[in-house]
Amino acid sequence: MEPERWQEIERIYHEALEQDASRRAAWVKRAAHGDESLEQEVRSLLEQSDEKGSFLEERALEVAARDMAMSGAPSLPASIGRYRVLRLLGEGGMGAVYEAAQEDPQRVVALKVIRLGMATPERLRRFRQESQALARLQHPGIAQIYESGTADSGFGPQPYFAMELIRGLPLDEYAAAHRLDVRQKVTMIAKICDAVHHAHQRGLIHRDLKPGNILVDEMDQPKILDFGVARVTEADGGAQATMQTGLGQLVGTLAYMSPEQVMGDPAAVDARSDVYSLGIILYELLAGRLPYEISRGRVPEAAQTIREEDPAPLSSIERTYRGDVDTIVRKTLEKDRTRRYASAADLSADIRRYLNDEPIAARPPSAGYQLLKFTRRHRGLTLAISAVFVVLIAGIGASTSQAIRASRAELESRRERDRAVTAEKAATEERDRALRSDQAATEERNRAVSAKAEAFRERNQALSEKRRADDEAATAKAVSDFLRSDLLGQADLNNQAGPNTKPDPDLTVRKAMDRAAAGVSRKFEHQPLVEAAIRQTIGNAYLDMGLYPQALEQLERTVAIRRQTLGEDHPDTLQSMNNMSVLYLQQGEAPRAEPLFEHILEVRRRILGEENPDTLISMNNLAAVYRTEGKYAQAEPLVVKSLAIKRRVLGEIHHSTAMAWNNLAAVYRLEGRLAEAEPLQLKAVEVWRAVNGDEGPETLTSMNGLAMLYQAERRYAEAEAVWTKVLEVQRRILGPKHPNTLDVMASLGEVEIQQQKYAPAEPLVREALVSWEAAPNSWRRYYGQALVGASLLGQERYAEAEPLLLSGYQGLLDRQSAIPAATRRSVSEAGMRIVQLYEDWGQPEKAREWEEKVRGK
Amino acid sequence: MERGDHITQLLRSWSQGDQAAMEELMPLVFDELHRVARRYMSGERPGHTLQTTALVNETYLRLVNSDGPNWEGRTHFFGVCAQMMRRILVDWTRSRQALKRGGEARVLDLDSEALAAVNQPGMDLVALDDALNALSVIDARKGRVVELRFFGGLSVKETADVLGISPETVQRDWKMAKSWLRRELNGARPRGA
Repeated sequence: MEPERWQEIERIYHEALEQDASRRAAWVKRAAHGDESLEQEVRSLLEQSDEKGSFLEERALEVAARDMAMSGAPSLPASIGRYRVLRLLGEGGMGAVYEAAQEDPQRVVALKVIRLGMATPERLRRFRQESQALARLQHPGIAQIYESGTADSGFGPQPYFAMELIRGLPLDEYAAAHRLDVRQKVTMIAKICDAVHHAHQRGLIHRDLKPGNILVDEMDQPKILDFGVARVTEADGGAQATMQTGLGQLVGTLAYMSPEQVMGDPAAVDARSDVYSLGIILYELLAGRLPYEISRGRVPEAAQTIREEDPAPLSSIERTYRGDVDTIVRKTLEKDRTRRYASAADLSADIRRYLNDEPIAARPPSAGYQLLKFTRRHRGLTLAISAVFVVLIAGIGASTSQAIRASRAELESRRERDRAVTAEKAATEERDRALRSDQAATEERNRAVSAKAEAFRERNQALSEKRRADDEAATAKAVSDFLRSDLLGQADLNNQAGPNTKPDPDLTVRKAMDRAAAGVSRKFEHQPLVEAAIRQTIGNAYLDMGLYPQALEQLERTVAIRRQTLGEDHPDTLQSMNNMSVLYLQQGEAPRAEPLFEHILEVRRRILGEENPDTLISMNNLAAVYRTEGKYAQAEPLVVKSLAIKRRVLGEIHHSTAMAWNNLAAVYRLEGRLAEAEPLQLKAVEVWRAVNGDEGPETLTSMNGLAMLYQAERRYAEAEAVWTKVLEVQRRILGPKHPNTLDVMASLGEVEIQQQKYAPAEPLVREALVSWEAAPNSWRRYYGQALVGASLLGQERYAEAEPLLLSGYQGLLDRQSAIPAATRRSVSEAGMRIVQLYEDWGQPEKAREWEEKVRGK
Repeated sequence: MERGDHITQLLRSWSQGDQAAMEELMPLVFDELHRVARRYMSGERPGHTLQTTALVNETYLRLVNSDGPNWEGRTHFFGVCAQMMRRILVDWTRSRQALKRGGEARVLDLDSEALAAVNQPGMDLVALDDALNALSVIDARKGRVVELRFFGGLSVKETADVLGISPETVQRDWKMAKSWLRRELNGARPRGA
């Protein structure tokens, strides 16, 4: 075609495109000046113009890739080496895996063809050398490598492995398909550990363990693929080479790599790297997600995450993993490999201890820990007891904080104690032997007597050494012993049936606790710190059971003892002071709590610093007091500050950060800044749901906050829906008489009253009132009366409503200072209901009289 | 020798007519091809994949150390890469078509969702390559624009830089070339034109 003509076509084409589509044909005809061939040429091009279409918008690589994806493999070679290729099994950045048939011996194998990148003679030589070692690896948990070799392909020498063909599912899919429970999952990991250990002992590190590399066959036998293959196929060893094999593949693999592997230091990669990968696999299997967020395709960020970020504890994802499983996984995922299990065998040993309910090695057995073990081994105990037990354990953790933090001193003292115990035991044995010989032969007597004397001396020495053993470890043990014998002992029917006691099958946790609490003073007269630790533990348990007066009694005595023995600023003193103050607050005694919280915060800021978790808790608690007292201006900056620190230090998805969101939302709500409160409140609900589940206590707290917000916004139906849900869960989990359950019951009743659903509200508020009547001095009793009165008023049952409304209003008025700011409006509301009562009842004079009275307040 | 340097040298040798260099480069492109194919197979919607431009650029950046020696400028390099991609992808498609005619069995199972994602009207790269050759005879620059954009995955701006023309010209060339190629592939070229 003449260039001039082409230019002409092009010019008309572009000009025509600028015209409205309907006028293009006419335009082209005119522009062609009767040249029909030109006109037709341009028009046929315009017909193909496809301005919004997809033609060529997808790039060639993508087109080819899609083609490849749709039709399967790029090509299927008929044979590779001596193997007849049957079909493609899988294909990845590293190469392809075929199912292939071997003639002699006659068997079907998996043939892995490796793409070496640039196959230099040096690399091929190393491949041959190292792959021979792999063929010697034999273990039921490892896919056997039969042979390796190189075949000639179109692209030069192509190394391959012929290995055992496993018919099974990748570990993760297998676990999902067979709905493995926790025990089955960890058992599977223990089996895998055994296989990994076998290879480790032969000097082979896997380096690329991941669920996709572990197939589980029909006999439930996990089989690890590609053992040692990573090393053989890496050009220069280490992660650096892997980094280059394919970004997409790498990211999939990266998630399972240890920190030292992503650092790319081949020398630092050893058996413990595989242990780490096993930990990630275990974590993922149990949690259903990886411990880190690893963004796809961003290698440097992912590597940094692996090196620096602490994985979210397994227990934060699923509460039931609290305890051993959490501890085992945590140890496996230590950044510092010297803190991990030294070998896969150690890991599997610990898993098996867990499965047998024996103490695991992952941490020194603390009192609370052993106690937990104890309950596990005695499953006969009532469910209620074990539920409270979790609470108690948490209490021990807090009360003997110093002892349980595995300080060097503690370990040392422990060892010393153990030595003492051993010495004692040896002495006793010696004595027994001595006694036996004493009886057996007279001529031995003198020697035996002196041996006995020696044994006694040794024993005494051992005992005094034992006494010198660390006080705190002893305290922890004393607490554990006390709880075991005095509390759990009661639950055991065999123990109960002493000569003078009748077994009490209906023994409640409550009764057992009361009995235990009563015995504390007597038993630990000379060990004030032990007494304090036990009282705090019991106090916290009462607290969680909602028995506030009982809890307060224990905690007040704990604080008194610790103040005296440890001093005002000691962490343990502060800890119990904090818990006591929380109770004051809950009991409506905010003015008593305020100076205590201020003191705790001041000391913690000074000693622990602003970002310490305990300091943050204090900040939060003090803010809560201010909020309850209506001191929003003081509360807000504290909450804002703690929120900022938590977001920075703990991250967005953290239960403690959610607490700050929740509290800031509450402050805004109370200040009437409802629009600002809502997103924060929703965020708190969302994070807690994610971290603690739909029914976690904090989730319920934040849902309660959300309902209160809706109520303040007069979105009553939405508030009702949220409270209905919360109440359902609380009734089930906390029981119908728990203070929190009662509060929500009343709130739900109130919001129903606000929607004129008087009849359905009545039983709810009555139920709350019945429990509240037991505490005649609490403002809640009168609040309950006012609500029941309101529900009756709405049903036009004036005579019944009158005494309740009058008593309720007066009671609330007298206790105004104790009512949390959020609920204080209920005083005037109760008053206005009296006015309404008399109006509806046809007593306008009385109504006016009351109106003046109420408005005057 | 650093991997990146090595690739740079291979590209240079190949652009100077060394066919052996191409054979060393091919596996690298195939790696990439497999990777994208796997994305399809894993059911990622095309809408969710990276922009192809970004993807191809990523390929290049991975192939060549970004801080390595700048071989005759970045633009020239992109140009050579686009040519290489074209050659490899078209050859691969051609060999596959030959194989298909031989009755190759389908091997990998795709789940229905993944299938839905990839089940779009296909594009015959071999036919497109032929049409592109024909276009280049009439208008070499338009042929280059298509090569750089479609095979090389370059943006309008990058294409303009490589060819030393304005982005507006690239836009116009691209539009017209697409119409021309589409007409060619649809067999709608007027007789005698």
